Amino acid sequence: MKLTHLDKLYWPEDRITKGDLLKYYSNISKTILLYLKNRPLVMRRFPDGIEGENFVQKEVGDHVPTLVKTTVVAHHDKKTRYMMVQNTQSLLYAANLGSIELHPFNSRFNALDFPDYMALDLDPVSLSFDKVVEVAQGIHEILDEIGIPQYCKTSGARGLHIYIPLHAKYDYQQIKDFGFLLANLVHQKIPQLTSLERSPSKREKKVYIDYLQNREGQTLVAAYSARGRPHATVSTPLVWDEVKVGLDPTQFTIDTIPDRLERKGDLFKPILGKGIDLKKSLNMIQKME
Amino acid sequence: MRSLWRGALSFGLIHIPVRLYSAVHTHELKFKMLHKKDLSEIRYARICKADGKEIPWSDIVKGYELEKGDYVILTEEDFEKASLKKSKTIEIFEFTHQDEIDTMYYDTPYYLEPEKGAEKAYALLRESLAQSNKVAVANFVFHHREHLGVIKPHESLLVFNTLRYQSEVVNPKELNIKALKLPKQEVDVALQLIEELTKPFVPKNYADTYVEEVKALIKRKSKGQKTHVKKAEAPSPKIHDIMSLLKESLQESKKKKKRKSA
Repeated sequence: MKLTHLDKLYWPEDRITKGDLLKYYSNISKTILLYLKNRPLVMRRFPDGIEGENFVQKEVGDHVPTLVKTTVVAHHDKKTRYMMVQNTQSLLYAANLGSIELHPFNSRFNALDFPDYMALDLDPVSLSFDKVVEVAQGIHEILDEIGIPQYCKTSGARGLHIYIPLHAKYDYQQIKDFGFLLANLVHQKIPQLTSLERSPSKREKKVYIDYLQNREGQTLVAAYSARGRPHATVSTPLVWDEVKVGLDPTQFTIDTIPDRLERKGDLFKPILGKGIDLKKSLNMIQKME
Repeated sequence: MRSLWRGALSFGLIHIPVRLYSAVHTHELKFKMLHKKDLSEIRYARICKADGKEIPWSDIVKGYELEKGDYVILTEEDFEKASLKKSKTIEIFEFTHQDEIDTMYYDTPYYLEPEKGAEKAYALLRESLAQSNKVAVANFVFHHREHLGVIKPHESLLVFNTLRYQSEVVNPKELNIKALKLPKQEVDVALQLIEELTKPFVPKNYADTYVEEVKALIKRKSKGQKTHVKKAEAPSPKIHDIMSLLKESLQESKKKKKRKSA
């Protein structure tokens, strides 16, 4: 496999090149592969860097090199051949295509209907990042109270993601329903900060709790994936102590993450570990109401 | 039936209070546009061509393009000034033979119904029009626009049929169809053929087969296709319902098979 145009400026303002991106992915490949392996992948490609055109690619067709594994997913009547990132080579292949952003399925190809985790996507739209932090802390408290473990990462853009481990025990419909219940519970507890309105114009300066990411075929940017945004930010797992007002998500970049990983280890590992007991959680929620 | 308008037919000293009803309805089938992927409903959005953002109604004005890029902006008040006040009468100004008016001019028909106490005057007008084979030419203001129309007898009713203005009918001169000299013999043959095929016109003999067929198709499809009915994602399902649905599904799900992709 040949890596090409390594000195092309992908982040012109920050003087960061495509070579820097490939170096980053190669550096952290062991860690990020945990979150990509065996999952159909959606790539957001920026072949001319973040200031050029970008596009989302699902279907990879038949032209991928033989060393890159693919999988066909049928959705309604449509079949799509997705690529999977199984090793460093295929990770670099994707990155070499300009795929700054890697968005894997929540489920693995051999258990497509059963997500490994559920995600709540906190998107502030036009609000400050501090508002999102407040909401995330609110959710953290509520979930702790119910006894549901939860892990937070920056989206790498303007928001935060909260993941709950499921260990592929429940199907998407169940998890979407559960997401609906959690989102409503959170909204009841902190209605002054949150909104369940999908339409931005009706949210009135509140943070939208998006639980609808938990559907088949929906993808969320992977932990440790770079973003096609200024400074080459990275979707970065956090400890809850770090999730506080004043947190600056732009400090986490392809430049700083390798060091951080060395110091803190991979904080996101538990999302692929022991899953929650949905029945117990439901009973707890019912008791709280 | 709901009346669209109440007022009176008037000519000279005669004044017949009536109500106006729509005499036609379309039976086009309505389809909703859905997102192929998950069958969510699609909506229209008004997008600014300059920055690609959606614009709320409150930020939209109406402009008339004088020439490319040069607009005159009209406000609600401007439109109000130009529009006519609703009138309370259908004003008859002349009578004419029905054949005088080419069918090209006929637009939308409305039924007229006499108000209480006006039945006799109404019947009298209907009867005299029928006997003289004439129609009344009238106008009235509806929806801020002035409409020209005729009042004509139809069975036991009076019908107000709006007419197109001359300016609304396209001039056919552009089509350049020349009058030709025709041999008498050929015309006679054609006339004979027409004579043989002449029958009374019975509207019920003709139906919109396209609509019927699509309706039948929908009926057939709705039987076999329960899988495409959307689950759960109602605008706001009750928390309670979801809770019990979820608990139920947890009971069942232990036996579920895992689906693999190829």
